Amino acid sequence: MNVDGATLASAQHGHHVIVSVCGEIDVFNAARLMALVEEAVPTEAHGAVLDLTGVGFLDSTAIRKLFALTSRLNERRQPVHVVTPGGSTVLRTLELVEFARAAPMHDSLEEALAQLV
Amino acid sequence: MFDTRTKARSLAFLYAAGALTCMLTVLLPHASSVEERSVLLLGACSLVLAVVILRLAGHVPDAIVHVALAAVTVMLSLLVHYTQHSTLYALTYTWPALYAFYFFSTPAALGHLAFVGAAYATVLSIDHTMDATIRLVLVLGTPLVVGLLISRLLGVMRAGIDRSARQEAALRSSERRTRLIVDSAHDGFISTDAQGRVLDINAAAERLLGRSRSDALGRPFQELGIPPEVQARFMQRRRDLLKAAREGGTRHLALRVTINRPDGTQLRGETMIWIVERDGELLFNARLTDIGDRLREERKRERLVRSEAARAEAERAAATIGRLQAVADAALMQRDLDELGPTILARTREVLDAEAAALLLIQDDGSLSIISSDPVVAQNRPERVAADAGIAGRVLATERPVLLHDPPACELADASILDAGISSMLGVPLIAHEQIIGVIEVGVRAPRRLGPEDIDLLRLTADRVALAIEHVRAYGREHRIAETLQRSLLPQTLPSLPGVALAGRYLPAASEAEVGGDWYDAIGLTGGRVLLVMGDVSGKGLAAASTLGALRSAIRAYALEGHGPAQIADRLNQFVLAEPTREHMATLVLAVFDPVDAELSYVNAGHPPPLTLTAEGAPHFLDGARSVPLGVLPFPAYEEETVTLEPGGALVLYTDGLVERRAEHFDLGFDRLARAAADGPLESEALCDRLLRAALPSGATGDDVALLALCHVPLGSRLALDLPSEPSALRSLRALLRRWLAQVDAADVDVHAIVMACSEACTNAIEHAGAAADATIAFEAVLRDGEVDVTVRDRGHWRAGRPPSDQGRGLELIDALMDDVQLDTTPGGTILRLRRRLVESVHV
Repeated sequence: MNVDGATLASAQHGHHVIVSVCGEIDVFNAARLMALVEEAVPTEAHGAVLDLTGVGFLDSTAIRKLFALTSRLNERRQPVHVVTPGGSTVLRTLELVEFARAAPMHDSLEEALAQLV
Repeated sequence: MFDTRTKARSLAFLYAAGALTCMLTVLLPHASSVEERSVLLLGACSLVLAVVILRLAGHVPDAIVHVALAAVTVMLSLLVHYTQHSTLYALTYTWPALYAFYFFSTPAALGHLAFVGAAYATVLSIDHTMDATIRLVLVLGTPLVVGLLISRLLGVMRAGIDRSARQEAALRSSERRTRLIVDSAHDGFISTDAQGRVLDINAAAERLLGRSRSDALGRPFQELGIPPEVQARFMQRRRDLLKAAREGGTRHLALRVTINRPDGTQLRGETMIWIVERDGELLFNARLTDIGDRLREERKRERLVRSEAARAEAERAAATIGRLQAVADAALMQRDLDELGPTILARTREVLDAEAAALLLIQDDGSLSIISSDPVVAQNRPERVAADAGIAGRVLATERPVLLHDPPACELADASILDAGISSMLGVPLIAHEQIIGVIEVGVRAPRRLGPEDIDLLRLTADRVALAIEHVRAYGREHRIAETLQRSLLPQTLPSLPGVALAGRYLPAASEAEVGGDWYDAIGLTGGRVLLVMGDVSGKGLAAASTLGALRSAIRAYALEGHGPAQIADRLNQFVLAEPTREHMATLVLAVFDPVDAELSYVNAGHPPPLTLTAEGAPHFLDGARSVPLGVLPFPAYEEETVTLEPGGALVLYTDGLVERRAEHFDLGFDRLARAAADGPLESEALCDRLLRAALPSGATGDDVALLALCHVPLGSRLALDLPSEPSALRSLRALLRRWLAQVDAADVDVHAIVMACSEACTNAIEHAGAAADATIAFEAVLRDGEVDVTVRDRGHWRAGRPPSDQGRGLELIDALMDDVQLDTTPGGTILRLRRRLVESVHV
């Protein structure tokens, strides 16, 4: 699915849903993209893995929407695991806002999946 | 032998005689046994029948006559019965028999005789006053004797009648024939006696003299219309002829006469009088010939000769029109009504040899605009007149030519015509597609008068003028539409991008050619790259312009999807092939230039090669990446080539109009282009002007020309650009910024911080710049002494005092990422200054 310069794909993994985003997320497309991520996680799923490996940029709007998304999914008892490779721009950005407090972060998708119960 | 009328009349007479007999029987002394009443009744019936038959005479068929005759027999029988005078019976009964034998054929007469006999016998057998022998003798003898006598008598009579009838018929038919011959003669025949009294005239003479035969008969010849003043002479000539004839001299006399007809007309004739002798008497016969006919024939011949002359004149006129036609043809080459008008009028004046001419065209508002008029009356003439004014108004109202001599001033829309001495004027409607589009007028000075032949000539002229005007208008319409369309398809402004300076030119073809299909475009891509398009759609006019428009839109769409030049070219090829008309092909150069590393990727679909220039001005044509034009092959597989433009170099894209000249080798054009490009400063606008001047020293040519120049301005230590006030522009900014930072060797951590901070700053600027669509944000980044200074200016106002939560994190981030943040609010807008010291770059 293409949303204004970013793409979104989702896959089922056991009781979890893996949502992968590629591209840049900013004020232009953040709201729509995060809404789509939320839609991709059905209520019966145990949790979600949000793979941001392909994301090159997050701006403050995107960060805000990401916080909002994780807190809503947490309220639904659907914990979100975020994948950001070490040294990536996104990781740097998320570290800046201490996103790890909101959701567990992982270096790779494999690591994230291994953490799932 | 006898007609029904005669038969019926005779029969009526028979009835009348019967009626008379009845009356006499009663009136004269008679036996008391006579039934007077019945006899009188019978007589009355007979009388009535006689009258009825007399009335019907000529209308009844023979069968009715037979029945009526039989009825006579029955009535006579009844008469005999009632009077009981059987001895007179024989006499009585001879009437019908006599009648039958006289009028009918023998078998019919015998039939009637038999019927008479039977009736007679019946009466006799009823009447018993005589003895049987006498009755038998009477019954058999009387009809026999009577019949024989009658038939004998009638046979003699009929023979005589037949003969005289035949003679009479022969005579009649001979007379008819003669009469017919005489009457059908073209010449009049008049026959007079020695005294000159008219004995007979024929039908032609009736016609020639203008009086009927009955009117002419018995009149003296000279009174048949010979004018009184010549009557005496006429009679003298006739007396002389008579005298000469009696003396055995000439018997002929030929005279030319004028006859005054009773109806007042005149006959100009010739008469031949000759004398004939009949039964010792001398008679005049005259033949009258209408030489007026001959004179008319002669006049007709004269007219024919004149019309031949007229035809020759018409041919001369046709030659004139031919000249006019040639002018009209030339006028068809004219594209402008203002130029066409004077030409047409000058020729119209020549053709009609007129002093003044004017052309008035109906405008959309119904008024007439004077497109052009002759100098004689041009001064003070209004530019427009009401559609119901003057000659033109009358022409429009009647839709017919209007010819006016010595018009009163009030009749004219413009009285200055009279001051110019124009006294005879003619206006003719201009008709195109069965609609009046205007009026053409001519005027001449006294003493000349325009006439019917001028009307015809001006009409013919008007046909051609209308055609030419219609042509010019139609051409103008299409040309304007196509030109407007094409102009609208060229970029109004070229994108302003860091690292490149763009300039474009489009020169339409000279006026006599159609609008061409050349176009160029420049589209800003993400990361500060720019897509340059230079194309040429085959064909001209509206169709080419619309194809061009479709291609332009398609290129923009494909470019925004992120495709490279070769991919775009492949898609465009499919696009052109898919066009339903498949009339057009297009040549095209697509080039993507990246100002950061000065890389140029291009593809050439059958187009003249792009020209590059080094910073020092050395020219080089890019001969790579060549392939076929769009729309000729289903899968041409366009492949792009990438070259690096020298820093500060230039790229020139153009269409063939810039290098092609008639009767000149192609290479010469390329050489000229390369020389002109190298000969001067590498500044895009100046470069364009120079190239156009060199290639087209005299301006527009037969082909249109498009030209696009790109000069590379190395980014160096400063990056400045105007950002459209829309979120979609941010991605492009970030990409460009990353590339620039990479070029100035910034470390990843710095790149991340500066890109993010700038993105946030610009996001805020966009959100506060206001809704104005044309609002732009000025962005500038400068590397100075190991520090990057960023300035973001917008026309809005930051709510710095109370940043809403939405922007809070943005400003916090900027603060966290940059060493120094300054926000200045001015009346003209807001300026945000950011500064960050780069980490020491480590060059190993």
